[in-house]
Amino acid sequence: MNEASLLHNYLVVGSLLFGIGLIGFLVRRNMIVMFLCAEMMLQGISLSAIAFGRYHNDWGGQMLVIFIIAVAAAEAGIALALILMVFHKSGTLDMAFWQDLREGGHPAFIDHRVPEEQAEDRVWPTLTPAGIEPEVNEDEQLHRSKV
Amino acid sequence: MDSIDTLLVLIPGLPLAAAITVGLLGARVLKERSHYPVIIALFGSFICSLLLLGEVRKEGESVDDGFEHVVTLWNWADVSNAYELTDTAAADVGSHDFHIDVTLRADALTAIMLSMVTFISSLVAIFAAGYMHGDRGYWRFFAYIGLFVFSMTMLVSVSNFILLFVFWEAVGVCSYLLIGFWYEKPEAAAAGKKAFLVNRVGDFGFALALFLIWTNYGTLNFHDTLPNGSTDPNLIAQVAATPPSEEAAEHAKPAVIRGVLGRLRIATNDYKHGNIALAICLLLLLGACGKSAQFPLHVWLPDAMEGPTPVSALIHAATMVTAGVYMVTRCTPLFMASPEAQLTVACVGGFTALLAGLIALTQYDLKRVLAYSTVSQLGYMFLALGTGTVVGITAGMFHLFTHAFFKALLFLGAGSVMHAMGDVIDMRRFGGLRKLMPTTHATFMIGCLALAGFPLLSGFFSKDSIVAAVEERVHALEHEHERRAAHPVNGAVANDAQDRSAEVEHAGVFALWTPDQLDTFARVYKWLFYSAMFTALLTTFYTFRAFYLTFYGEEVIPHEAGHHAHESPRMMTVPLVVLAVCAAVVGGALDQTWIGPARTHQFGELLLQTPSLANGPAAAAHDAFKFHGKIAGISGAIALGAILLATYLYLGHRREIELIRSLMDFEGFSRWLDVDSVSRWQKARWIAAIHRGATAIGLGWLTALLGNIVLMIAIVLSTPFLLGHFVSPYKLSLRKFFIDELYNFVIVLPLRVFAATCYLVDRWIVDGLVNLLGKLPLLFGNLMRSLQMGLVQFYALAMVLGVVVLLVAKAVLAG
Amino acid sequence: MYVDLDTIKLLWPELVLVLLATWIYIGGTIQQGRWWWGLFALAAYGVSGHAVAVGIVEANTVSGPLTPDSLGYVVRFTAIVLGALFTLVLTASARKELASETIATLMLLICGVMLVGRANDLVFLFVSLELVSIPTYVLLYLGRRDRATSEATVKYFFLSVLSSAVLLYGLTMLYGVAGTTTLVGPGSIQSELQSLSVDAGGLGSLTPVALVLIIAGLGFKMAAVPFHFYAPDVYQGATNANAGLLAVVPKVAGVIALIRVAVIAMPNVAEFAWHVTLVLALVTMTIGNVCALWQQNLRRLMAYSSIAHAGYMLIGVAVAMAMEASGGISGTLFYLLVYAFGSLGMFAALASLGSDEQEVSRLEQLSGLARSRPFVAGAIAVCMFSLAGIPPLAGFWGKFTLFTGAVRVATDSGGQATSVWFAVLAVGGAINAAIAAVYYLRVVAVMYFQPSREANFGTNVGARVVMLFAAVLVVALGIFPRSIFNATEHAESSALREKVAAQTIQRLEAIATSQQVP
Repeated sequence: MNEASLLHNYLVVGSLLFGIGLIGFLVRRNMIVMFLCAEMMLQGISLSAIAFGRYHNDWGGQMLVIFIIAVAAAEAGIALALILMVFHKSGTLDMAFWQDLREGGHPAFIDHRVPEEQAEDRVWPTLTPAGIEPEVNEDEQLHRSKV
Repeated sequence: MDSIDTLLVLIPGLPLAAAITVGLLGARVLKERSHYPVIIALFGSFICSLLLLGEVRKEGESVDDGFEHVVTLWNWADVSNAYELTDTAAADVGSHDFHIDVTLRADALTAIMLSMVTFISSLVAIFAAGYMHGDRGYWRFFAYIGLFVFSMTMLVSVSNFILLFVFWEAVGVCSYLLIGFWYEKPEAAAAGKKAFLVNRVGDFGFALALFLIWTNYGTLNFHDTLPNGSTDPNLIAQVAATPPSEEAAEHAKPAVIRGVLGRLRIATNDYKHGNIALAICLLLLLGACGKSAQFPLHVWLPDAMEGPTPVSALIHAATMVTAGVYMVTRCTPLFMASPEAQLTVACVGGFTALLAGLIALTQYDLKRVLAYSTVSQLGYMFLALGTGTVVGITAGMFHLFTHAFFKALLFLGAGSVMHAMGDVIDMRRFGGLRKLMPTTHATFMIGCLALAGFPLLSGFFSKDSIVAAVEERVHALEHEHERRAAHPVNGAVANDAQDRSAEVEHAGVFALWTPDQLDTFARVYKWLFYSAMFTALLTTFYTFRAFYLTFYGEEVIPHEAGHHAHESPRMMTVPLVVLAVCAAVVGGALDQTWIGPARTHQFGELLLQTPSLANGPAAAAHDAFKFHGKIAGISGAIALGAILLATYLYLGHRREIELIRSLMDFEGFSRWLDVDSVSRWQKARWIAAIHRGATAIGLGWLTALLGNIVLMIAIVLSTPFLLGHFVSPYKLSLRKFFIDELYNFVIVLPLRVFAATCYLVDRWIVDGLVNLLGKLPLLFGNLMRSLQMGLVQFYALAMVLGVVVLLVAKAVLAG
Repeated sequence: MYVDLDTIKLLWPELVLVLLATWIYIGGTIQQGRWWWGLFALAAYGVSGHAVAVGIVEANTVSGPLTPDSLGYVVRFTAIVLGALFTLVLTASARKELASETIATLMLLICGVMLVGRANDLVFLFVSLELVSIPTYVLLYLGRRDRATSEATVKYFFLSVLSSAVLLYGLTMLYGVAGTTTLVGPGSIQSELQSLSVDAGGLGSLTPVALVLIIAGLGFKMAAVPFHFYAPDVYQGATNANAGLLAVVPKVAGVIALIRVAVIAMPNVAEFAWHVTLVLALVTMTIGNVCALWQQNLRRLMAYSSIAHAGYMLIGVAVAMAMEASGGISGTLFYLLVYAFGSLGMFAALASLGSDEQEVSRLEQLSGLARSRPFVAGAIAVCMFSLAGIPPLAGFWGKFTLFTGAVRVATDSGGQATSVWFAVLAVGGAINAAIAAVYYLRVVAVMYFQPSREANFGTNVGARVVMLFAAVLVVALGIFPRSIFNATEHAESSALREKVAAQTIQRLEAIATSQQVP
């Protein structure tokens, strides 16, 4: 198998990964799954980058991949924190829940209603606050809806 | 010379400074004291004008061909090689710069106008301080007056057609502002608008004339200049005397820019002739007609009486309206080049004088009578200018000068009456005021006598000299015509150059005229002479009609007068007295030819120091000023007769006036000339007897036929009188010959219809299209907006689709 | 490639920012108080700006991941000024307990923009762009504690992750085609691609795909259609200060990155590139402007305005792609600056009106502002006029240079089709400017011609200072545009120098080979 066809195969697999991730991102409504799909796209890119690096006999591809992994980790951190926080607010992981911000005069788009989760009496994990302990409102503590 | 420079700047500068001071400080600081700066400035201007007059007179005596002094303040516009003159006199050929300097000039004409304007305006300002007292816009009034005097003094002292036009417009603006001074009053606002619009027609002509002058003479300056802008007369004479060098010829620029009314051009009488001259003159005349309210543009002036009365006195009687006369006088050399234009000027003037005189006969509004009288007197001035002789032009200017005094006096007198009568101006609503307002009565009478041409008052001399000038013109033309008839060989216009020069020597100014022209012109001028005589009669009559209606008869005071019905305060009567004295003596004092042949026409001698009158064709045919005893006798007799007639009719014989009025109105004519009364005759006994007799001898058919014919004739004859009830001479005069209605019908109405059509088209078709076009982005926006549905997956899909579309496009395009 | 001391010297201004931001993060746990850290951050920007000014060196050769060209300096100074101004706005309007975090995160964000401005390496560029994106998520979330903010953050985060992935795929392909990560210089992507034909098959045919993916990824940052959908929703959900940040800073980064990669480094697809950019420019302008006509929410309105302005900037980019040294880059940079300050002024004015209880977000809240807050109304009016492109304000010169650039290409380029395309672009731009004037002037009309409403506006001093500064700058740039023109023109020539040099070498080599063959 020569270098070119080897590269070709890698690229095909990489683009498949990217494509599957993309389609997953478009069709799934669960935020965590959507983010995982985005990660899968990044994996496809990484695979392509490494294959290119090997083909050109250049370190750049691997360097790119290392940075991709680092950035993806950072994004994952942000993503998980964000998803957790918004889950506190909404009680759902459904992306379609977030449609309040749109042009006025148009109805929300709902193709399939997710059955409401009964989450009233469950205790959700919280993040430990960093830095100085924020001044928590007493009132808020008493009437926190979801905790 | 330096003192002349200073004076020339000071004369307009002082009123401008006063106007700015009052404009800035009037509303807050000066308030009721706003008249002080203006009166002081105007009086200062007047002193300066007198000094200038003295200087000009002194300088002028030492020069033969007239004295002029030009001072250039700064350069306003400068376009190099703006126009190339080819087909013209050798001295002008070449490339001309469009070089506009802000230049003032001092010569006799300017000095006279300046003295007159500043004197009248000082007195009017003093009068107005009393008249306008308590008005809300007191300071505004005086700011406008200052601005007006600045513009007017600039108008008469600039030395350039462009600047003349600028200040021509500036006085128009001041006039507009002052007519509409009480802008809350709809009539005043409408009158201001009308004055402005009518003047635009004239200005249009004036502007066209300027374009023609520029393209034919290559300059718009009155005076000669060197290409570098220098106006030093010695230098110019030096340059003009040296023959052009080779180098200069290559540059293809004239060595001296010969001003349109410059000495060099006048000395050689190098003016365009024929159609170009006629066009320039007629367009200038159109401009003058607009400003000086001559037929057919006279309609704005009577309406302008909506302004405060001092304004009517200052702007619409004494000063601004004479700007047209000034301009035509200034352009005398141009008009000399076109006899047809001169005749047109004379005809316009004569006709306007007659028309306005007829209208003034029946008006009941005191100020309107005076306004039509102004139009009529301005017509006289144009008639005088139209004679095209130095005597005529002098007479016109002299009449302008004297008219300013007595017309300002009359208007201020009318203002005094209005002040006392609580702003009522209808003569039917007051009367017999002579006991109530003795000073006003006395001064008004002097004004009336002066206007009427009562012997030895100023109007007598000036109007007399106009009529005399017309008569002289007729004589000159007839004389030349007879001379040509006697020497037919020499009379024909010679084509040969040699013959032509001989002919010029022999025939003087008439060298280029054909016998037919001479004949026609002589006849027209003769008619104008008769018309002028008749107008003099009318003038006297309507003046005294107004005078008697106001001051004599039963004492009637309108209720609006309230406790105001008394003599005006001293601030108002003093200017009246001063003006009355001037109106009485100024004519006799300045034209002393009536005393004896040894005395001179001082005004005329001074005026003839103006370069454009002192030299050139006008001066060539000038005889010495003399007193025309015959004409004076006739016109004096006419004046006296008309005064007596008016006295007879209006002092106690009102019933006869009513009779004349009803006669003139064709009242009752229809009563004994209609079908009923004629058929009543048929039943008369003697007619019936004749008919019976005729029937007896078998001729009944004849009498029946005759009777029917008489009936027919009666019906036909009565028709015009029936119609005449609507357009009788009286109605014509009262309704101002329906000129306003005619304009409304011929010009305003079609324009309105056109405008309405345009508006409809614009509103429904153009706007509709534009609105539709304007709606498109909105509609498109709404369409696009609906994509913004708030769903993240959809947004992501749109992004991906965007990428896919671009990629597919690339693939397809790449083939 | 190892990092030597010189590179660190070159990076010194950015390192200062990162170090001091870290200091704020740590110190913020001990010392609370907004102005303490706000002034500290301002001092940090001062130090960093000074370091940039001291470190200006015009190196003739570009080597390594950083380019010292003048374009980079313009971007770095702009970023520092914007950073300082946004610090003022945010210090006064951020939530008290999170002030230090907000300020420090902003510093990292600004650091990212500065790095984008001088990146000469794909990996470096990617990391710099992520350094812009990630702090933005955090800042967005820190703005307010309500559902709208959460929704805005979620939307922005997910779409941004997607666009990052798309961009990264494009960058990877670019790397794959060229075999190097360096953008410009000897042995770089630019010189590799110079001779690479797109249509010959093989890896070269991936270049257009890479280009489209890169444009898509950066188009998201610029808010160009069809990657713009997030903008109205996210701006609406964010606070005024954050919306301003989002409208200005990522756009600067996106435009600069587009210039660095798509304009300078990809010469072999220029033909395709300017077609794509031109179409995107037209569509973006039009959609942004027509949608803005309907808006009543001020932040939504400004979002669509921001989209429309992205379209105008793409005009400049298209011009730069179609013609060498045509002034396209310079025009885009100038427009970017003008837009940044106009927009910043508007958002700062809105932020200055907001109080803790109430935020100004609807157009009718501004009615009669000219009477109750004449200065704020005046500043908003100046910014609106500038954004509408009314002379003599800065926005006019921005549009003027862009349109003249398009007209120049239309008249000077040889091709018939090119002329038509750019003529259409110029006309479209002019029509759009007219449409845009409607909604900008409507804001002014509401402020000046509608009766005043009783509203308890806040007094945010920092935002007010920024607003006045921006308004004055907009007027000053309108009256003296020459100074900035000089800088942007210098930036353009300096950024293109390597490209021109490379092309010369290429041509010489081609001549040499053609002479050798026979």
